[in-house]
Amino acid sequence: MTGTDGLVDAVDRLCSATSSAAPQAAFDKSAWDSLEQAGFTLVPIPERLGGSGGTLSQAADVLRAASRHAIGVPLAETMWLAGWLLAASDVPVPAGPLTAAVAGDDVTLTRAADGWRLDGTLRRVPWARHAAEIVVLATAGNGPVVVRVGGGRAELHLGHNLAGEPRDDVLLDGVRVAGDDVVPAGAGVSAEMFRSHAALARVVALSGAAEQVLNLCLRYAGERVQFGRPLIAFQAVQQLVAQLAGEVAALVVSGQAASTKLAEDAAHCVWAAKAAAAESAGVVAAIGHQIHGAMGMTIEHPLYRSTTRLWSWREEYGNEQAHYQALGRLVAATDPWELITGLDRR
Amino acid sequence: MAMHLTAGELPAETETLRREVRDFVAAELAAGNFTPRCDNWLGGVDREFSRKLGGRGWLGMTWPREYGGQERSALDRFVVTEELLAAGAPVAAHWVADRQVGPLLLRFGTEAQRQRYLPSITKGECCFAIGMSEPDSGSDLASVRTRAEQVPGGWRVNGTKVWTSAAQVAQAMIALVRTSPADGDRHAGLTQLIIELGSDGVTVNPITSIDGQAHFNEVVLRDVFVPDDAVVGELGAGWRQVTAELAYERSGPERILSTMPLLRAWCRQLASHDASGEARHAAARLVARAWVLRQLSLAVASALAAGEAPAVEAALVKDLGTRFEQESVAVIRRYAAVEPDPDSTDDVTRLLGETVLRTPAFTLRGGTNEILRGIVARSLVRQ
Repeated sequence: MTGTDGLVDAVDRLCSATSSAAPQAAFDKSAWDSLEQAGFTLVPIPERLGGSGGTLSQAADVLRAASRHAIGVPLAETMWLAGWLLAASDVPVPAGPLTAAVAGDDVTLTRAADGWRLDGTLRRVPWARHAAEIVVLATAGNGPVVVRVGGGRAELHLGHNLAGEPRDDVLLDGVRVAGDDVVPAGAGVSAEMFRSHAALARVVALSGAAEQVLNLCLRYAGERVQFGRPLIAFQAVQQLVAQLAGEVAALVVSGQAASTKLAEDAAHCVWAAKAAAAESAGVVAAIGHQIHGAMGMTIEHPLYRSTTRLWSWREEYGNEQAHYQALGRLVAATDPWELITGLDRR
Repeated sequence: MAMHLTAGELPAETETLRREVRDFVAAELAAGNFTPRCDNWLGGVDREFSRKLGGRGWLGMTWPREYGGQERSALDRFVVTEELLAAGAPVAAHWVADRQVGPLLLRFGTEAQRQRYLPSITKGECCFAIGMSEPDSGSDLASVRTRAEQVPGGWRVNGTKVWTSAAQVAQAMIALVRTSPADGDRHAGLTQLIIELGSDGVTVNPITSIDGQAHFNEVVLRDVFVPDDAVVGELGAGWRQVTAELAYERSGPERILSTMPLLRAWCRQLASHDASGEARHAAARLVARAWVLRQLSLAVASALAAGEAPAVEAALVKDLGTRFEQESVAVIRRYAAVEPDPDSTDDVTRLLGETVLRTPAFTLRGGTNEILRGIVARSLVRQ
């Protein structure tokens, strides 16, 4: 893989060339194809399993850059969730958009004559309707398994998040899976680790969306003239812009910092990052709209493509309340300073 | 993108150093040599403690060996300072000298100035003050009126500096003074001088803060003679030199960790009192935010160590960090539900008693946050 700056620039160029025409939230096939051809959809997957052999940090850079463009592609789901589940279990990762989910208590995997049978429902699975495969982390008798469900094999109840991104319920009742498509989960694969990956993916994506809000605000505040002056000449607006920039910087750095630590057991690092990111996302969206005024409230203006993502992604895979609860149990048992610096050592 | 920040990573070997500092702090605490306090990098003047740190090579630790330094990395220094701050150790006597004066003299000072001051700073023996603000110059630093007139062999300085921390114990002060009229460019004609505080004509008057302590001073300069060799760097280039220091001044861990001793004491109490879920939740929120902000401070420290000048990012750290410090006091007082009392034997009650009255200063010192935000916003739009 190339260096970070080159990577981000390349993703930026690809996304700029394809993203502007697609309507909000639809699967942007041309953007996906460009990203896939350039090798950006499976960044952290080893080359021998079909990926690009990059690091988690490089994956985070790509995801953040793509998220700045608010394009409709399941990048996080493909490389960081489904791709991770498969590669960690030593299964080659197929081409095409993928998605993944953890089977809840109501999902069962049982032996059937010709392989396996799934029952139950996976709720709000991102991009399920567009996925070539839905990769499910389930339990089979003696331990966790990774189950590959081909796209179109299950009935879907279509849904979407506030940004219009597909979040479909996958009705598995009676879905048959071939024996080869159920493999023991690799070392380090667990429901908890899946949730860490997913939460971190949203932190990183939030940071990209937040950067875009800042960029739009800087442009608008510099160009829009009221009372004979550009908005940025007003001290009240300057205060908002700087507050916004602070939250964006915090988001960007915490996404980067958390992704360097994902390889090991660093759950509370991700809890802290996602909780803080969920709060920052709200501030960023609110200030972004305040600066843009009524213009930002229309679909004529691109702002909403980023703010609706902020409002969606902050809730997905645990908002601040959920993560503070988890972190709170640790805080009562550990010196907070140990926790803050210890997170760094993992 | 308008900002360039990359998360910094502390090299694995800094963990040994962190352990050494923690052991040292634990031993000092066990010996009753200091009481953890919030904001002790400003209020905690303890010459003996500074000398002990110097003896361990933890002052001026990034500086060249020829000046008494250890030639260690900026990230080593980051670890030492953050550990001392989180412990609430009394580090005010050397704070300004170690953070600002050393780097300033290494960058702009003469060989003689370095030889004269740096080795004794690294031993914890030489204490410095910084004279920037004046009675009529707060956030608007370029409006300083202290003036230096050329006289044979040097300068005659007249004026008054205020909010000068540690001047009561400092040997010298780096003062920003006007050496020639502004003539249209108000940033021109300013110069940094080293003023020995024992010089004739210098009067240091304590300023009592609302907590009853005198952390700050007024330094009155009446016809003080300052020799030519006490000019730091270039005559008239004071503004440029001062702004170069600001990234160090604004982004350090002291802008985030001033209240960490209170947070730690409160969490100890939560652990022992079987705290409510709500209180734990509030504590978790502070810890998460502290984690994020520390990563941000570390990112700026790493950029500085790599020779970059992240001025905007540093200002952002100061804005976010100091507001976090205020927020942590606000949250902890709500849940602790005690009457703050500096004389209390209960740690949380005492720390609140000492800290509540200092809280407003967090977002004032080092440039008020509102002014910093203006600088940040304008430079982001210009880029």
